[in-house]
Amino acid sequence: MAAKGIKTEQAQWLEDVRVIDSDRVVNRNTQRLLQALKADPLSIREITKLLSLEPGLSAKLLMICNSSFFGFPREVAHIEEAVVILGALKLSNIVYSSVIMMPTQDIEHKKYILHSLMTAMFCRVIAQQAGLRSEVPFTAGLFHILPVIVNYQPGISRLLSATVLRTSVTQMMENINLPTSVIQAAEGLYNPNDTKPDSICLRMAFDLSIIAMGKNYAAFSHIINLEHDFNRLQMSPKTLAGLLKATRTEQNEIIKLVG
Amino acid sequence: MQTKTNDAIGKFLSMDILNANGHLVLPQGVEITPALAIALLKQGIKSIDVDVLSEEESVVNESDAAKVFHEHVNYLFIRHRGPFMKEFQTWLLKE
Repeated sequence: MAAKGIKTEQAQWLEDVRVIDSDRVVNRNTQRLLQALKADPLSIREITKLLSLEPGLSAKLLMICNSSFFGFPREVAHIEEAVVILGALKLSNIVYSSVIMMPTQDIEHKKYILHSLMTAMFCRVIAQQAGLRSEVPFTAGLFHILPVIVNYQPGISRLLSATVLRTSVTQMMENINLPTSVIQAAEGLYNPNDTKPDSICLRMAFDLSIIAMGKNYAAFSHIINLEHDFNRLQMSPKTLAGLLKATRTEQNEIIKLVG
Repeated sequence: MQTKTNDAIGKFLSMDILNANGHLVLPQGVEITPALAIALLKQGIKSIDVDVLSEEESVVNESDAAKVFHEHVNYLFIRHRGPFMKEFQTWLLKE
């Protein structure tokens, strides 16, 4: 009886996610901004114009790019400077990060936001360590539980089976037009036989995030088995464990950003 | 305790910082972040007063944190007994 109740609730939650308007996830101006950041050649004038329509987003972008979450070596004072110095890819990632950073006072909700930002940061450092140039793991890390953040409700953890997570994430990522490579990497989180480096990065980052957040703040209580992933990515367990200590400043910065 | 500004990162101001005109620059209780430390150094403030835990308290806190971390890691790895996962667990506990 209880199992049937949970299944009904899961189905309802998935239906709610399915019908969420993409504008609710990423508002129109931000969507236009992300489109402008994909343009070749890049129009700095267009980007700064779009940013001027979103003063809140501009302030958030400056806050994020001045935190060590992005490891940027010097202070960025103006948004125009950020556009020129950071370049389109990094700026897109910062815009994506601002989408995740929803204002909330709910501790459980904050845990999911923290988990996403931590996972994205670990994806970045693991990809660097493995010599991958791809930005895909970072974006996949940022959005791998996006529906949980956007359609959060108290007590949501009991609804989140692997199937529910995978279905909802794929659905929402398609709705907001994320690249197929990012969607595939996020799906790889639930498939231990997926040997794509982007997916392995995400699985490793997911585990590091849960380990780093500790028992009281981890969003999930289980980690993924990485037994075959170390060889696939040619990374030793010692190296992966070392990244936990090496990123302590970034971890603290993320905690401060979420508040 | 008077500490070099560079060494005060992560600690909290124990006294207000005032500029030459007596105006408040930073209030007591603020955490010194890397960006704040740089800003203070730029203004020529090379040392500041910060709150520090006694050596004994600090050792106790670290040992509690280490114990909680070990318990967390050991719980997460209960279901993963393969050789690479065991090695990963060992290195995490050493870190």
